[in-house]
Amino acid sequence: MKHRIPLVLHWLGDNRAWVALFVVGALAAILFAPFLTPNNLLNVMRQASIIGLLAAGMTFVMITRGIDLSVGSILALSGVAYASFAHAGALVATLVALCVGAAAGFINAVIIVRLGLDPFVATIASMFGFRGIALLVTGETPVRIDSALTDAFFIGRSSIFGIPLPVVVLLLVFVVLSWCARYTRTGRSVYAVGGNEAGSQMMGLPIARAKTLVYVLSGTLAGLAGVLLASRLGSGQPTAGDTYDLTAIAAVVIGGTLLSGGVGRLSGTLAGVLLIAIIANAFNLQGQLNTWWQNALTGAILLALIVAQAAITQARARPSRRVNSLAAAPAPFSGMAAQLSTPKK
Amino acid sequence: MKTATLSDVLKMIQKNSAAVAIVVVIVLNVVVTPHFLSTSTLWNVVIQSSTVLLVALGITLTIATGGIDLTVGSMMALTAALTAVLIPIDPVLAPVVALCAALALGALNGVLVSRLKIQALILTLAGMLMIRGLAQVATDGRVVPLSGFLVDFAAWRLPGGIPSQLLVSVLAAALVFFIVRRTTFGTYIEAIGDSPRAAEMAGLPTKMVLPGVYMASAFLAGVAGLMQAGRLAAADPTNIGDAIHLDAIAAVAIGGANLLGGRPNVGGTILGVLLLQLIDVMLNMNNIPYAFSLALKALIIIGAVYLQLVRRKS
Repeated sequence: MKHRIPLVLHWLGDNRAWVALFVVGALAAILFAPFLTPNNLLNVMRQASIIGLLAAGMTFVMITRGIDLSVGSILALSGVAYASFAHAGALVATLVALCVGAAAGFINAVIIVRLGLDPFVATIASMFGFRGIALLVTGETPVRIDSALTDAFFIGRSSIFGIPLPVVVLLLVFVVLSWCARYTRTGRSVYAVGGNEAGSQMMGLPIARAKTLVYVLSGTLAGLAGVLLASRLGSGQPTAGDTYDLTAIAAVVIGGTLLSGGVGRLSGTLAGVLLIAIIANAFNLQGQLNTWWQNALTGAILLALIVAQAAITQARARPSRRVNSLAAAPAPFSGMAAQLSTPKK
Repeated sequence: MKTATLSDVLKMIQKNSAAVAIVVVIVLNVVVTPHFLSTSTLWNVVIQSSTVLLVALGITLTIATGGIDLTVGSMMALTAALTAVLIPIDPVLAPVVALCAALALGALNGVLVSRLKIQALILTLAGMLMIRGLAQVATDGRVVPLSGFLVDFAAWRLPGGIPSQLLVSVLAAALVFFIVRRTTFGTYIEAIGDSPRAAEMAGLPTKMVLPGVYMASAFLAGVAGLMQAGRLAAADPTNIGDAIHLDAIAAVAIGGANLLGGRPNVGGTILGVLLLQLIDVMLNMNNIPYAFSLALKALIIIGAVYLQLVRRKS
């Protein structure tokens, strides 16, 4: 009996990003009448879809203790690829763009896993590199998609049962990846590698493969985001997605994923992405603050959310490290973690 | 015999990869670029690299503690914007007040990182967005023209045509070098970077050192912002220092710093900044598009950092 209330609190604590999302959503609904209309909500979701795809990949990268700052550049590069191949049919163009994204992610993986560079520096470098390639191949001008190629605009602009296709894509990706993270061996080894790399190595887990996989996944999802954006805008912009990496990281962190690895859930990331989209939407609906105040306040709100999330996570981690339901795989190693904590390079 | 000398040379190159790369770029330029060997090119490199150098010095310190400071570009913008807005009220106090604002925000960064143990990367990411917004709020998003002693100082030349920026760069580098090598504070920075827990257990005042480090980073960025605004004779809250943290971090990494923390390498940072700037100047003087310079930068960062890794392992 005594457990009842704490259990509820624990559940709320585990899903605190969703709690924050509903609080902010309720506030927005009270303050702005148009917020709770289906049209507006779908609009929010559609705007969240691009960052959402980047954030999904970023979640797994961060679970392995990595980071991928190059996603914005990969998005631009694959958007350009999609627009350039649109004449060959939307399917071919999408496949080409996804392959470009996957290849870019693989390059990141080679630099990080094979050459051993720190993910932060490695992806700053590749961010420059992929952006440079996108600008070079386009001659620094956007690639227009011929308006006669109607199928090229399908994925970015049409809807199924009133739901915009980008939103459907986003939800599909989140459902499939959540399932993979929870129920596949590869998904579990991704968590294990981030939780305790030395322990995972001793258990014979394929560390290099898991790490390579997350960067390829991140690149591929950035490629998909590039396809959605190019299809919606009707052109591949070599300068697109300039600061999307930072927004995606903010969303992932607000969703409860730790930079220190091993902990994180896609559902939290989704809440983080929607939260950021709702804040932007609420600023659009109000008519008093100018853009500059909106920028400052968005930053302040993100800062507050991040500080709160970090403070709660620290407080919960201290007394007894509760094992995240999804991070069940590394649990057997947690005893070993103390003995094997990796010495600094 | 021959192989031994070859491996010696290779080791030497690995040890000083940034310096060797600079020599290679200079020699390449002397051959390829017309009018490269002139004092105007030299001063050009010095003037253009001065802002990145100041920012990179600050980032050298934050990285040495195992953290990072992404707010630097926004700090530059905020200092410049506040100064431009306050100059009509009091031209002398304006930059002082602006720098104090930067120091206060730097202290806030440091306190949050040290007390709440928030990852510096994430904290300063949000701070970067907020401070950029504050800079825009300060001028209402407008580009404010600037005049007075900041502009005069930026255009001022020492005897021999030496630009004032060189003076500031040398002073800042010397000061940071002195702090790192000759003060207890510098030793604390290194200790925290090597192992934050050990430093705390040994009773080092980590909760005082980290705010100091982030304040130093904010101050250097603020001075960089003032110099940039002075050189352009305008404060542009949206574009000043935009993405400068990327160049600065790249320079620090090329300079051989361990990104997980540890001994700050001031000399390496200076070489890293110079190398990146030389590449920009080289491509610029040969009319090679900016896109190409981005791609080249990527290869140089990866190559330089990889060489250091190989050296550290052997």
